[in-house]
Amino acid sequence: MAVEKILRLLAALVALVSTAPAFLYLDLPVQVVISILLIAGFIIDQRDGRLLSPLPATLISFVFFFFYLAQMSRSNIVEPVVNMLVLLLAVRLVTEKSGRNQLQIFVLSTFILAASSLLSLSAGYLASLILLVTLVTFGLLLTSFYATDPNLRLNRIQWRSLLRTGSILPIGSLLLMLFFFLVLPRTQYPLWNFLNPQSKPVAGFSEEVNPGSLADLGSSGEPAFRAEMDEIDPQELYWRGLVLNLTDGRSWSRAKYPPIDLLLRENTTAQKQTIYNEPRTSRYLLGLDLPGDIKEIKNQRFADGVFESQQRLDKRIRFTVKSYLSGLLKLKNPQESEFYLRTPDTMTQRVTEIADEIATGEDRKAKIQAAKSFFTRQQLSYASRNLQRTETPVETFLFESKRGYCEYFASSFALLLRLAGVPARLVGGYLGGRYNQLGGYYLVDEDMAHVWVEALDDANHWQRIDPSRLAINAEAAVTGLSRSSFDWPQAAADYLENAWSRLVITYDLNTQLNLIFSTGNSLRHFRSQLPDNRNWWLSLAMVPVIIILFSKKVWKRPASQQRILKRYLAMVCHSAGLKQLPLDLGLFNLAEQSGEPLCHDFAKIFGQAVYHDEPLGKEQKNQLNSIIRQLAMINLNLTESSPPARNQRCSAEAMIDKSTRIP
Amino acid sequence: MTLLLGFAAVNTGNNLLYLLVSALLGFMAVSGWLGQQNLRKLCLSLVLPQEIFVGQPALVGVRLHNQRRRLPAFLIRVELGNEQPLFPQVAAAGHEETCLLLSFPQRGQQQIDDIWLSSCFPINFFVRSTRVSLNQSLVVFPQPLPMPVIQGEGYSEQRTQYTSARGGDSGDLRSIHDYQGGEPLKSIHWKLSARHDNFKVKQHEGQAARPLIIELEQLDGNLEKRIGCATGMAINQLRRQQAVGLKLAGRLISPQSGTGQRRRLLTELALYNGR
Repeated sequence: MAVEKILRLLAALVALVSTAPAFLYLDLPVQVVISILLIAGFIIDQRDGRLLSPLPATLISFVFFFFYLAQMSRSNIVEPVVNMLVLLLAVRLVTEKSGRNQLQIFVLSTFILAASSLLSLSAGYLASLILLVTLVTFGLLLTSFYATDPNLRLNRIQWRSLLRTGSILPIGSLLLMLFFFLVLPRTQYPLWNFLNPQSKPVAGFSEEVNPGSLADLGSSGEPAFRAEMDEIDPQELYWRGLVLNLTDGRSWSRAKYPPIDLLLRENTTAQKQTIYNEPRTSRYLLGLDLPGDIKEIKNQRFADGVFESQQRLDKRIRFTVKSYLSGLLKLKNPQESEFYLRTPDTMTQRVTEIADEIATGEDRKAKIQAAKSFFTRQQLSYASRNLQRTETPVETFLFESKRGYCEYFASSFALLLRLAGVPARLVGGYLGGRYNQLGGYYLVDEDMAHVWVEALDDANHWQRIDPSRLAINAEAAVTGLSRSSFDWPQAAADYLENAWSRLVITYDLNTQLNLIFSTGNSLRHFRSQLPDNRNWWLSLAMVPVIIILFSKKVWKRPASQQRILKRYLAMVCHSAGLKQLPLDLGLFNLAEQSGEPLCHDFAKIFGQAVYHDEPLGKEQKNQLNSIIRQLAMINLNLTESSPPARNQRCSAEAMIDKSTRIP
Repeated sequence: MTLLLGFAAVNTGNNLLYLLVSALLGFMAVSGWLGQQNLRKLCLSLVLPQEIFVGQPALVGVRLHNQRRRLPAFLIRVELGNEQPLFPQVAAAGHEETCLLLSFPQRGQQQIDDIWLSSCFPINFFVRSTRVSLNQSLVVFPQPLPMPVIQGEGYSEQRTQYTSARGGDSGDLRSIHDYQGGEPLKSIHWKLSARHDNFKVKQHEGQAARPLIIELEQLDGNLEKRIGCATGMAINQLRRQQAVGLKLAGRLISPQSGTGQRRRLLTELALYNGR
């Protein structure tokens, strides 16, 4: 098959693979042009023609170039460049496919793929990259053949050999890619960062709770974070973010330095999580309630169990959290509980009456129970759509609409508790998560953002209360936040996306330095980790010996020609009733003596292959094997070797020697 | 391209660009290694014709042997003067041959020490070369010039009857020997063979012709012309199975016929420098 034909096919495939990741970001006319010209180019290649001669092609390329050059601005660089490159590629696809033009197609395609990395950080890029490297390396390989002789044709064996050797290029390149990716120098603050696809940080859980401000609660489904940990009881999946401790009756906000809480963690086991945080605008760090310690990111711990990052969280970040699920926060100074009893002066009468009713309880525990009973009595339902916008959200929610989402439940409950004399605050974070068995992590998305209440009990311990669970449809709504677990394809897709993000997208200077230092440490401590057992070392020493013995056995394994020849000679011995054939009896001589046409055929086929120094083909092997099988069914009559036989050049031994030299 | 993309990767900190640059660097490393391996362990030999004459194109066989056990050799170009035969592919532990017409401008002993092999494999950006040692010598015979054979001047006739050293099929019976394989059937002595266990073959004397001794000094023209004429004369007469001898600088090469004599005379003439 001609090298040129394969090269043209490769050029079309390279163009297709490189354009695919950027296709959605191209202007519509460019999408149409590249699609049409890709197909046209392929058809023209099959007919050995060309659509554009060099001069018009160059002029059109200049027009495209200057058109998109004029569209560039400081804030819009990447997209015009990608469009321009794709159009230049499209022009090249319908011009003459000379060696130089093929090379230009490969270069343009590589630049298009590079530019697409500035448009999207999707994991699909890796597939395109692997394909492109494979196709371009083979393309360049064939270009060298094409440049040497444009009319070169290779037979099937030569193609196979070239494919086998050529595959070293993409495989080696991709393996070395992993090494170079880890060691190539990186900078802390890239100068051209503005060219990168900007991740869109989401608001996530609110830093201010404003029930009644929204008619509909938005639903994005965007991942908020992933938490690598063992699977636990879904009811315990409360991810603590921030505490809101001030209210004006309508909304809740945070005072940064509230009274100090103490973390009680006696007789509790720590639950460690590794959080992979998606970009977000707020700096509050999330952890399973109750987080005790956060590492691998600079942060400030506040007295109410809130952690705030000292760096912006506008890109994917990894940190570890140690949480105490049975841990408790205790108000250090009970006199300061007044801080959590602050309420607005103006409350409606109905709310005040209910609060007074709750306040009749003997202690905080009874009051909390009374508040829960009131919520249950009110037949409140959890809803996130068609909500009433109002200036008095608590009263409207509790007595009129009786519908609302977690912010309504939590802010109303906390306010009632405060009015009834129970210190209370809101906690913002997430509830639930979908566990990915494949990756061993929880995926928490933005729709799982949640607000609950913490109330101070009689022992001055903060108790978690989730008023949303008091809704009449709590089972369907609130617990529904814990999504159904992943099925296998979803788990695999999310795992790959997560791995891509962890291993590639977020790999930066810090990770690189950590990797270097940890490798250095591992090497320093390697000696102490070596086993002392003598048998272990003996086994280790035996490994190379076994390998050498095995490889020698493999090397000495006779070639297929030799095996066939030995089988044939053995079969001839068997059919002739001899123990052994004369050593100097040649194949042709043997055929002559036996007078058997099958032996003549064998000598002819085998001799032809050996004399031409060519390995036996599949068809020839089948023929020879068939002859050997047929010989088993006949009797041969071999006489003593005659004098000329001694002088035959083609003795069986000679053949064996010769066949061993055949590759 | 790699440098440009590398520059972009460092300045944007974009890990996808880093991946692409890493792949390109990997490709450069692997292609460099493959290109270097492609020229290793190659053995070249020239299959020369038995007679090469000055100015006459000679069909020279070029045999390239790949001594590597696993890696085939690709796109090997052999630089032989103006000729550069190409071997698109040589299998691992295999060999390939090609022929080309070579002309040699000077007579005499020629030594071919080294030959350059080059290849643009695996990518056509660089051409790598290596020098392989050949250490092959050849004798280029003088260009034969036409010269009518005239009795008397320029050569002398020897009256002694010579017997051709080469066996023939029309002379007297010289000997009978065992069948070696390859002898014509008509030479088998059937009667004698019937009385023995093996075939017996007759060998006859070659038909001897009138001997001729070429004296270089007696010929006209300059040295090269005289050598050319002597070469032409020797070839012509030997082709007619005539015994030919040569007198060179007082040295006599006794007249004989056959291929051995032809080679001997031509070699003497090729190496003769006038003294």
